[in-house]
Amino acid sequence: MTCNAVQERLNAFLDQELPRDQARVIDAHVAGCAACAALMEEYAAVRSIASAWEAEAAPEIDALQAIWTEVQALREEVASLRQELAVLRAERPSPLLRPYAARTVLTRVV
Amino acid sequence: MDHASAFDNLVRIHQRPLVRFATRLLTNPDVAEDIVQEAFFRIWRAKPTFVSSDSVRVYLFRAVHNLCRDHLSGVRHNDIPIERASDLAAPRSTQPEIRCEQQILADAVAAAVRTLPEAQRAVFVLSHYEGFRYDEIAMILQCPAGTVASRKHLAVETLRRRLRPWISREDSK
Repeated sequence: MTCNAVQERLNAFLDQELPRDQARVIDAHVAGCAACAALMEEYAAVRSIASAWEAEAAPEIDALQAIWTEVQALREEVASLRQELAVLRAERPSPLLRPYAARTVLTRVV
Repeated sequence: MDHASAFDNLVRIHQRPLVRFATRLLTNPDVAEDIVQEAFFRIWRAKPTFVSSDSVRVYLFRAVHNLCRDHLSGVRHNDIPIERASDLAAPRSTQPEIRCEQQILADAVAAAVRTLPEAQRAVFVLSHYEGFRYDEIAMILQCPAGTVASRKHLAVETLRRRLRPWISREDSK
């Protein structure tokens, strides 16, 4: 494996994401190549430094409360829509009367 | 367990990691909280069924990532308040000078991570901070695992260049 190919895999190697045979090749290459070994140390240092930005604590939120409030609001909205629908249905003429209503409209148009 | 209790558990277990993840992607913790709440709300309505706790975690992170990406695509870069980069900070020392140095380093890392392209940033945050494996990240971001590996490599390479002064100090320790 060339240095380029090894270097492209160093992060996967550090993450232990490489298949065992590839990891062995990288391991052997790094043991004998100062440039790749130095780069691997730098990548390891980046990881160590990046951990300085570990989350102390995510902001304490009460997502549950907010969601339940939203769910409650939606339930109320659904209930109110159902009521409106019931009123509209009550006001609508019976299906038996619909042909007469249609005929009346046609007569008016003609 | 009924749907409501199962959902309560889901929120309790996952809300903090999800907010932490979204805050790292978006910078603004208020928007991150809104996005996590929206994700939970959509899940509550969709009532998905999960085969394992791993799949729940992947599903939740995917939902939050999708919402973050939608948000980012509608936000100009200038709108991101970089000064809030330290909202997620390292555990702090009680000694003022050490605390100050830790804070500067945490801010430098936060700024460097947040200037990564979105696709690389998501991979780096999921892998480094949330501890996901490449195959899980591939499921969250809906891309091949090979793409995850190359994005992680590009992200670390970019961070290496941006954080060079700190790396020298790390090496001399």
